[in-house]
Amino acid sequence: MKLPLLPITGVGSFPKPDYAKEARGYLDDNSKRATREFIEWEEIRGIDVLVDGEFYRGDMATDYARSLGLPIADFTVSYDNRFWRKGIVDRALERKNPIQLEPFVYAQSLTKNHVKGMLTGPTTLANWNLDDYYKDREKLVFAWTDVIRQEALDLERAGAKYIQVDEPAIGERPWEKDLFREGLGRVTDGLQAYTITHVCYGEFPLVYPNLSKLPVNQIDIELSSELDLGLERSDLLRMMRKNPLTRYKDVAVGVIDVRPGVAVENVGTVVNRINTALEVLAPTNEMLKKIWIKPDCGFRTTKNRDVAYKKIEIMIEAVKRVREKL
Amino acid sequence: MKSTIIGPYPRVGSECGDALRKELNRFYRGSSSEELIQNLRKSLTREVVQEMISSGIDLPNCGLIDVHDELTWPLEYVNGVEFGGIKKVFHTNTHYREALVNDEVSRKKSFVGDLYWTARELCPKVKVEFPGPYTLARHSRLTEKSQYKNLEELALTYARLLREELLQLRDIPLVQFNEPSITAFGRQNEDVDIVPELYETLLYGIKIPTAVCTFYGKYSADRLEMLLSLPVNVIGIDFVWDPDVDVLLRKTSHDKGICLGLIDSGDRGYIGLENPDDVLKKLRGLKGCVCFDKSFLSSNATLQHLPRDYARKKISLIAEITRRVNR
Repeated sequence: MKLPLLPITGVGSFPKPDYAKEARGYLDDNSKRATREFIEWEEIRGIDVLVDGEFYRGDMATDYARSLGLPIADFTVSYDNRFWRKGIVDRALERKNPIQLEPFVYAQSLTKNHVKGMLTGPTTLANWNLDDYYKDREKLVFAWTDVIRQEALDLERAGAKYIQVDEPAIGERPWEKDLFREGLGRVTDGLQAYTITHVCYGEFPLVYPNLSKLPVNQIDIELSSELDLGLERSDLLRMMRKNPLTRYKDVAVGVIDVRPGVAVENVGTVVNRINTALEVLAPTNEMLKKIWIKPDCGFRTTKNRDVAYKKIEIMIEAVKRVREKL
Repeated sequence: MKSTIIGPYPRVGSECGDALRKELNRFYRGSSSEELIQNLRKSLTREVVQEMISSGIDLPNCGLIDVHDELTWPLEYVNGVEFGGIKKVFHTNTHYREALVNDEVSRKKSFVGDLYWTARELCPKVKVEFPGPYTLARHSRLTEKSQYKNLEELALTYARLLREELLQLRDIPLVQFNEPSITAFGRQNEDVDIVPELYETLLYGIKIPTAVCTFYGKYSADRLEMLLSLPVNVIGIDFVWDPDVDVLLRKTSHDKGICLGLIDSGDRGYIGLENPDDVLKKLRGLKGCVCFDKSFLSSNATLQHLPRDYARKKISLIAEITRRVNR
């Protein structure tokens, strides 16, 4: 598939409509309807590589635990009044049935465009669920790796050309960088699909040197806050300019702030963010071809669907304006 | 030895906690009142403090069930600071707010609020906890509008603010400053040498017993020496992250109480309970380098990363082991 300069994509989730709030890790009629409507919306707006909106998901880590039959703990805090239920690994992990296959096959059946196959990465699953069985990080991460490897193979066999392994936990334990890379590598090893890892909301200066070594085609990174800070005040942007990640990987740049309560950006703000990203990451035309544009993260926590829709439209308009000047 | 805990206690996992969670959601949507929220917070504070006392915790905190996050919450009560986006700072997948320092920082109101005094109605000995000035500064960002030149200047300002707070406190059994940023793994703490000056500034002439608790990292000999030289009564050490820190501790000469963070708070995702006999064996090995009369047994860090039912088991375990030590 031929993509334009600065291809536009999503990261994964979108706020659920009221009629589809119930699904927790399974594709029911309501989440199918929401997926259908969202895919159609993305096609009309001209998104280049689509995401399914994840309307079937409860949570990107807990759903996997639930699918594996693990017990689910009571709430623990994420921040302020936001809580989540983590799974408890209380036995050897064993995948009984495919987890992400059905949502992918369904979403892909709705469009001729490519839809990303979405997975949560082994390190994130190890970090975001509780452990009362392995009691050893390497064993725990590799147990999750085996599960996600099977998932990735299923997606590829089902025709996924883009497989995204979400690893927002990358910044949480920088001292485990080798374990992280090894786990991700075992998932992506030998895949023919274009592979992506999405990372967000961590202390990236601590892990930046490791990003270039990750065994994927594309690093999808949350960046809008740093782009607003600009080169003078952002340590990360200075690191990026010194050694652009585009030397090694394609980079999907987050230019829309998805956090709850953050107002819809105006087009000029997003144009500025994109231009700053290009200044930092695309000193050559070859590097420019490696940049994709997308929101910082999935829109699940944005909650407000109208805001989320508007933010994507603003992003699309900003990309159009930047493309015209290139 | 006495038993204690560190940091915010899990807020949900009971009828009262769940009611507060739901009411706060309504409040954020504009359909509840501050008065109702505060009443629920007081009820939950009573509940969690009662839970600590019934479990046998000798020195509870007030549960800190109202703090947005444990790193920067006192800055809600100062002028000159606003909060920016959330960031994941540690390994816990908890999101923390970044404090943006825009102007001269000054104290608006007391950091110790109603909930502490609600807890005191149940128990005469409840410790007060704050993030320490170094950690507060480490999680602040100086904006273009700020008048402070660097982190050191800001940290000293925070130390003075905390001093103002302490000067107004009376009849407090212990004020504890949590300083994960002094030790947390992989963080930029090359300017940690300013910590002694911060605590000299903060505590000069203060008579209230004080503690500095560190966690989420390992200790070098120099770092441990520096901590043990601080003008406080108790130093909190994280034995879960650094199980061999006792080797260094044995080489020091000090007269501090030690808050022994030997019970895993679940911050790394492990939820199993320790075998009390193993912990007692470790404690026996610390004889000679820890004065148990002045010391505490504790979780290494906040228990809020555990579901409430697991946290409850952990505090019971801390209390049980403490009882066995004292027997």
